[in-house]
Amino acid sequence: MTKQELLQLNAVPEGKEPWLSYDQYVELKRLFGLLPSPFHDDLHADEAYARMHHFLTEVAQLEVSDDKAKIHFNTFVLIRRGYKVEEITQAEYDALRKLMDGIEQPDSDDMTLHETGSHRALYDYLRKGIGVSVEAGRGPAWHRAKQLMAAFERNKASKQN
Amino acid sequence: MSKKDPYAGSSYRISKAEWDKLNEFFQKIEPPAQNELYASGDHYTLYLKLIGLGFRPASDAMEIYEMAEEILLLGWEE
Repeated sequence: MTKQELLQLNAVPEGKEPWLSYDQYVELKRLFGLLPSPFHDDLHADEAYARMHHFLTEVAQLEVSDDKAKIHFNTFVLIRRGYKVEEITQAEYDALRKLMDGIEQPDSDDMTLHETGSHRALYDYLRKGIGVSVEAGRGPAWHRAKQLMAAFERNKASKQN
Repeated sequence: MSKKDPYAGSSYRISKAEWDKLNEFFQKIEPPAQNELYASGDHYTLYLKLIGLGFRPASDAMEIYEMAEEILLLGWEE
């Protein structure tokens, strides 16, 4: 499939800011992980694609036909779009910076989380201090915090300009 | 963040022809942005190429890109 043919499958609005919540985004990635390749026959494919199609049309509100190649491509594009990052306060940003200072960057799918330590403190602050949802794991906690901080910095910069 | 071994400890490597094809495509594309507001199709194509070579990439474009980079660094089957 050429690049042009591929892009003709796109049903995700171009230029639109992310609109899925973090929880929806986590579910999107989980469902994508269950999809067999659209180019191989798989006995379990139909059910997985049906669930993914339901998510794309009912949750993400996209107009996508039930063609497997379209479902697969649009799910990937939607993952690339990301999720709507919540706004945090200056105090929350400062606290996150402090917690993130010198902390090891884990892979995003690193689900290790000890009872104590810097990643646990970060996870707990995200959940209980700021009150945002985050998957239980040092990877998700680190990347969630990074996104919140980056969004805060972008907002601050745009207000100053 | 530690580099993941795309071969998961196996000594298997892709063939020279596969390496050349992957490298040719990889050189043409940009590293992914954090959130992409306009679909390019490039990282999806890379994802499919890695699947076609028998790898199991993550859904995250940055990790897909890094996996391809690592596969290329590890070379081909002599």
